[in-house]
Amino acid sequence: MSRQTYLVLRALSVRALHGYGIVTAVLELSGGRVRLGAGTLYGMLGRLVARGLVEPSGEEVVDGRLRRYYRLTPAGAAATSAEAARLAAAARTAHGVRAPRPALGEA
Amino acid sequence: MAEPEPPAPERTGTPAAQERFERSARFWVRAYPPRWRRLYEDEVVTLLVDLAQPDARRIGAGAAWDLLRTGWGVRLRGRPDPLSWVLYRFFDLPLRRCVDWVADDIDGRWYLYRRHVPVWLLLGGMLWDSIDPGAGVIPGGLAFLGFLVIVASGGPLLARPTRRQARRRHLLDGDRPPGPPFYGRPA
Repeated sequence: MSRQTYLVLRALSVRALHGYGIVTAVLELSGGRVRLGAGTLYGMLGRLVARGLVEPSGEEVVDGRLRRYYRLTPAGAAATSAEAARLAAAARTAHGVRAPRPALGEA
Repeated sequence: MAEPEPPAPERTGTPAAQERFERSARFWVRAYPPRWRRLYEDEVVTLLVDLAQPDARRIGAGAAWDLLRTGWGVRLRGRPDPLSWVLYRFFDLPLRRCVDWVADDIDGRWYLYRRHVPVWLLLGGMLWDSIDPGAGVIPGGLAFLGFLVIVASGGPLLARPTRRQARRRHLLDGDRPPGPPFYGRPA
């Protein structure tokens, strides 16, 4: 799972969001480092909907513009938890690795 | 319905500028295949409007490139592999793994001409074969050429029943094509 996909799923794990809400939530979650473009986001949403990880949860028209909300499915929530656990394990492993000791004879 | 979210930034441009921006956005969204656009175009345009500078008159180069890149990515990923394409185009075999691509193909422009690619190739080959390098095109070749012109001009008249037959055969005549939803189906 790519970092961007994980961040989108994490954003949707809090509540249902529409496109702009997802972009701002991802920006916040990533500390301002990941700014999704419209094409990238909807390409990703299409794939996540097709894989059954995300589903639409309603839509509204504001100022003549369509806003469709998306939320996680149970499978999406499970995939997000699994990825979070994997990342946490990877971080623990990285922290557990000691700095290499100098070889014998070195100062 | 979901909880209210922070509102999108308000646009300050004139209605003409906003309309121009939207036209620009819809132009670039055409990088995506038609069926995908029917599902997501309005949402994408809304998001592009939300993300743009309040007085922007057209979408920026970065956003345009993002749409081109991802749009053509969707097109390429949705295409059948070459062998499946040959089986579909030349032998009319159903492509259950690429139903969205098939639906776009059947509903797209020039379907009849694409549908009869094998016939065109056969006729073209016969025409080529009938050309005598010394004497130019012999009468048989002219007859084939005339036949090609007649078939080509009658295309639009024949396209409707052909499309109907193709939908019945490849999409089981349903509102939604069978098979995995490659583009996702939000509705």
